[in-house]
Amino acid sequence: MQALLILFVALVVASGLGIAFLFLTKNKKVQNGLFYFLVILGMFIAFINATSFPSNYIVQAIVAWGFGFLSIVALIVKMKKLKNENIAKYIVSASLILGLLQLLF
Amino acid sequence: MIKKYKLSKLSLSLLGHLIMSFVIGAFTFGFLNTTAYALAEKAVTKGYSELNVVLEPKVVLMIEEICFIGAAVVFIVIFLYLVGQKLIYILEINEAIQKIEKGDFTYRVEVVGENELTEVACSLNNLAQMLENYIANEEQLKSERMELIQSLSHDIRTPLTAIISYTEFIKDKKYESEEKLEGYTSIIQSKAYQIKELTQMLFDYNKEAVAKVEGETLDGKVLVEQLLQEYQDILEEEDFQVEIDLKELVDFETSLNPQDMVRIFDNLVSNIIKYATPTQAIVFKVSLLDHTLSLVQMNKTDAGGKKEVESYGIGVKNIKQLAKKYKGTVELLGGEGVYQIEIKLSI
Repeated sequence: MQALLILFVALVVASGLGIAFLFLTKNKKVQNGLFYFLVILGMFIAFINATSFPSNYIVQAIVAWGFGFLSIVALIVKMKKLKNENIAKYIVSASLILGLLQLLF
Repeated sequence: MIKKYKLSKLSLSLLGHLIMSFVIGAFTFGFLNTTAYALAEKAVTKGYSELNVVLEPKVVLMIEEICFIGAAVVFIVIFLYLVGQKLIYILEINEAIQKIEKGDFTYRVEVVGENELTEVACSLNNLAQMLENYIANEEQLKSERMELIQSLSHDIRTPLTAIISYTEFIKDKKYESEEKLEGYTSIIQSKAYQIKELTQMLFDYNKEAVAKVEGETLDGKVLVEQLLQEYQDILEEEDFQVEIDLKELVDFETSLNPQDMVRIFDNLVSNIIKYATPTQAIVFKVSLLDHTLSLVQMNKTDAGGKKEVESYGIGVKNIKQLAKKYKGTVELLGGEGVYQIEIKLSI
């Protein structure tokens, strides 16, 4: 139980700091590194979320996987090199925040 | 000695794409696998299947195989998509090379990323910029050369006309005395030398850039007086009255090129002969103030304001170019029926 609490706190802290620095830092290299880290973190949270549900909670599990796929969408949007570079950041942030909310509540 | 092996940025980037595609593939496998099991269990609890399919090894294997194939497809698609972005960039660079090769030096590749392809794009843009500058420079030199040819061709006409006129006088024996004849021949000779010097400029472009006579100084006042005297004679022979005002001209030493001064006066006199009203006096006023030689020439133009003479404005343009060589200025100040030009030269 204690290990789970540490894991949850670590996930929240890592996500919070990651999102904050993703928008605050001006260094492109750091931004890119953080972005890819957050995409993987989003998928990891979705995986923990989805596998933590009992097997008959199909809808909730699919929703959790959906939040993970949102991170993949963010990656694809980033690769598309849209004029507004922030769109990919918003999507990956949404994926993380929604995943964490589902995990914690 | 161990050789240090350094991975290229492009390779690292491709490795990153591979890892990212693998993570996404694994994630998809997790999604497909857990969802498939959950659905299978649901089917059993709902009574759609008699067998407990979740425990059947064959079914388990089949589900896992299908999930693996699905995840592999996702992995391949994502990897190809990520690598495809690099290929698109290579194609963009290729397109830029082709456009530059065809002569479109304004085309630039968007600089994206921080790998070897980015360096290629940067180098290509720099190369295109260099070529663009080179071509622009060439064009400018060409146009300067053309202007010089145009200007010298124009300036050659005046002494050439004088030579033709004086040789016709001699041929038709229209001189009253031997002294006049000698005068005409010396004018012809000086005009021929002037033409020689002007044509020399065409062969030696750099000479045109040398404004002042290096290491040589002349008595500026004498030079101006001689030129005015010479052109006064020419104008009087064309039935013009000339008034010269040298009250504000003091003695000065100058390194002005006499040939340039002759060209300025040639152009002024050529314009006077073409456009000025012969009944009104032509005024020349020369003054010197703060190392600036100021030459003002004024005349009246005919009632209509223009004679029926073709003009391209090359004369004034040439004077402006010559004045520019001496950090000077040329201003046209005339009004209705009056033509006034002020030339200022730094001595």
